[in-house]
This record gives sequence, structure tokens and C-alpha cells, in this order.
Amino acid sequence: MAMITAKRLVKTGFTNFFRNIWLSLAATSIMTITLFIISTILVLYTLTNLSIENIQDRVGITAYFNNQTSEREILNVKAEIELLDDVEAVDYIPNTVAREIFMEIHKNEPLLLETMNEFNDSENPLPNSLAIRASSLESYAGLSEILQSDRYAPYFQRVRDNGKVISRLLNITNMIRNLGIVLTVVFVAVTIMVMFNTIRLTIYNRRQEVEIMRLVGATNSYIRMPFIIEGVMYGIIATVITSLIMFIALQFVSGSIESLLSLEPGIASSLARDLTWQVIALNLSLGVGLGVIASAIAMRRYLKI
Amino acid sequence: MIKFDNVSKTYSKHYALNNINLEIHKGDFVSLVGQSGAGKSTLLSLIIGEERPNTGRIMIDDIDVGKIRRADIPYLRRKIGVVFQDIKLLPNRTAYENIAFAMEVAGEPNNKIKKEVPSILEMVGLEDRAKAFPNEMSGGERQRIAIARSLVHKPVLLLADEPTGNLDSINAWDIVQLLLKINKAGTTVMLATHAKDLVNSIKKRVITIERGEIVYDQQKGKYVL
Repeated sequence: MAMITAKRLVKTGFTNFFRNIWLSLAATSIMTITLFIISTILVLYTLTNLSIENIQDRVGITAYFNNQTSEREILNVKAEIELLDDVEAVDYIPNTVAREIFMEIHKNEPLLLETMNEFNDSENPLPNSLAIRASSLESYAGLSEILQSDRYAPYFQRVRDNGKVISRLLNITNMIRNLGIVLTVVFVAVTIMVMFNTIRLTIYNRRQEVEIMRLVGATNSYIRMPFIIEGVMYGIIATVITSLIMFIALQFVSGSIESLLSLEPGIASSLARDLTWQVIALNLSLGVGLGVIASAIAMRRYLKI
Repeated sequence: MIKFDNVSKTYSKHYALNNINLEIHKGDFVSLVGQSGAGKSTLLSLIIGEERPNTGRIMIDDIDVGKIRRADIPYLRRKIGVVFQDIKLLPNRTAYENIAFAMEVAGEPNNKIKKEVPSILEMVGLEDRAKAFPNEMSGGERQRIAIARSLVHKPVLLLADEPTGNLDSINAWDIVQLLLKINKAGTTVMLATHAKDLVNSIKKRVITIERGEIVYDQQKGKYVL
């Protein structure tokens, strides 16, 4: 009996969906748009976070010592900085090493190499330096301020901080997150309203049927269930459409996203693959959840049982 | 079977029913008469749990209808068939489907529906109209289908609220004959009506309501108002 009842309920839900096909399409479309926006934001947010992690390993603060600072002082300063909060690692880069790095970087530029070779080791124009990495991106601004304070003024000739890159990236992620929250709230609200109205109309169209169902002893859950199923259908259809579009689109744009966020090639599409099930699960729970919420609100207001 | 104990029902301080005491036995055929607005429909609504009394107690067998849980109302409704003046058939379903619908929503299996709907159609004399839609039937036929639908759960009680209100006297009399036949088969019937001639020719118990109060209750009664 449970099986036959379930079959009848699902059938009624389908009938409800198809009886007002244009309205149902409108509800499904708005739901699809909402899910699409939310998943796009989620994927973008994940990618920028990934790119920040990626860059975090590379960027940092470089503090250049002036020529008067002795090796001993350098080691003292290094030890002191290592004890600061938020400092992850400090590397001492003597000017001899700096010179090797310079030669390596510019190995295809003979003019530069020649110029550098003009100097012997004791005349090395490159300063000794410390490469400092902070434990988090947010810490760089404060750290760079400390290094430029009077305490260290006698030792450093210059402190170079990749803060601009870092803060730009942080701004992007914050912007994506904030925009994401606003868009999500707006579209979720619009979706609930559109679906609420769609289901309200279904309730109105079926008011006679509902009245008779009550009279002949249909249980309340039997009367309500088709409206819930209708809401769930919007969620499922929207999830299928959104997921398809998302993954097709990602195959095409992953390359440009990678270069935009200076990620390694291939990482965006492999991330998309990893995210597939999470995105589908998110869409499905969100879509079905919204559908159920909207029909619950509509029934509460318009279905008198 | 049905017992009203000092039942009152008010709608915004106006008494729809005032201090009703009433007992109806299993197998009775009761005509409930009175002018429009006298309280007949309110009394029927109280029996099916559609309305709840302000004071007093309504028992159907051992169920206190005034205190029944909302979730139990559907099961009460399966014991009570209801027929209305405005018939309430679904226009986009055939006679057969309208009857089957009542069984479907109560979770009856398909083979049972296939077996029982034809015999119910036969009982109301419309086995040849199974495929007709409501707008293809006469008023009398439609009401018979509505009665057939009310019988699908084999109710112990059938409530008919002005079932002949829209019918001419011949069709009305047919409907009454059908109700009598159903009563003879063992179902208790309550017929609310203000059709004087019909009530007088039934020659069964008549309860007369006036302004929410029972003014007459006669075993072989007549419409006296």
C-alpha cells in the first residue's frame, strides 16, 4: 500500500508540474540561475583561495641590509625577527648567494651578466638580505611596518614588501565572498518568492480536488505531499541543468581563469573534477531545500486542511 | 451511534446551535428539516469534525468528535460518507474516475478499485455511465455519482446535505429512494433538507430545527413548519 501511495503522490506531483508548464519553467529557470550563481561563486572563491595559497609560498618580505651591518649583527637581527609573532620563516641570503641567484635569473641576458662580472666578490653590489615569510597573508602589512620601524632602521637600507600583490588578491577574495553573499541572499529570496507563487497557483487550481480529498478521508500528508514533490522537482531539474552548464563552461574557461589568477596550467580543470560531487550535492540540497521551503510557506498560507 | 450532549456552537456570539441533545441509533434514517440558516449544516459539520462545538460533547460510537486529533479526522471521514447540494465532482474526471479518486487518496490498491467501483456504480444504477464526464450527465445522475463516491469506504453513516436542492421532483424522489435503499442495506442516513413533500412521504424519523434548537423530534414525522 505504501508503494502504490508513493506512486500516486509522485504522479500527482508530476501532473501539478506539467499542468502549468510555463509557470513551472519560470520557477525552474529562476532556480537554475540561482544555483548557477551560487556554484560559480563557490568555484571562483575556491580558485582564488587556491591561488592565494599558491602565491603565499612565493611572496614575502625581503629586507636588504646596508653595507655597514656586520655578519654578527645580521644573525642577531635574524634571530630577533624569527621570534616575532606571525613570522613563519626567515632565510638569510648573503650577497654571494644573491649574486648566484641573479646570474641564474638573467643567464640569457649577456649584457647584465657581463656587467655583474665586472665586480669581484668583495665589490659585490648586491646587499645581504633576509627573506621573511609570514604565517598568513593578513600579517604582512603589520610585519612590514615593524621592519621599517626605528628599531631596525640602523640595519636595513630598504624593505621590500610584496604587499600590493597580496592585498590585491585578498581584495579579490573578499570581493568574491561579499558579492557572493549578497547575490546568494537576493537570488535565494527571489527564487523562494517565484516558487511560492507557482505553488500557490497550483494550490488554487487544485482547491476543488483538495476539498474532495479532505471529504473522502485523504490524510493531511497525502494532500500536502504532491506540492512538496512539485517543489523538489524544481530543485532536481535545476540541479541537473546547472551542473551540466557548469562543467561544460569550466572546460572552456579554465585556461583563462588559470592565467588570470596565475595558477599552474591544468589546476582549474582538475579542481573542477574534484569539486564535481560537492557542487552537485550543494546544488541538489540547496535546490530541493528551497523548493520544499517555498511549498511549505505556500501551503501554510493557502492550503486549508 | 451518534449522541449530542448539550452541544452549542456559536459564530461570533450568534448561536448556530444551542444546547442540542440528540441520539441517533445505528440503522436509523433521520430527516433533518428546518429553514435555511436554522443550523442543519452546522450540525452535519460538527459530526464530520469540520467544526468543533463550543460546549457539549458529540460522540460517534466511542469517538469524541469534538476532541478528535486533527490527524485522526481523515480516518473519521472514511467512516462517514458526505453528499452535498453542490455535488462537488471533479469536472475533468469521468464518473468512474471520480469514484476511484476517493479510493486512491485513501491508499486503496488498484485491483480493489477495479473490482469495487463497477459494483458501486451498479448500486446507484449508473453502470452504463462510467465513462461520462460530469458535464455530460444530468443533475440527478451527477448526484448519484456523488452518492456512489460517498459509499466507497463503506461508511457506517451517510450525511446528505440538501442533496435534492438543485433537482426537479422526480429526480429528487429518485435520490431519496436511493438513500432509503442504502439505509436498508445497513447504513445510518441523515438527510438535511427543506423539501417538505419528500420528507412527508419518507415516513421516518424527522427532527425539526429552528434557530439552532430542536423543536420537534418525531419517530414517524412530518414537516411541520
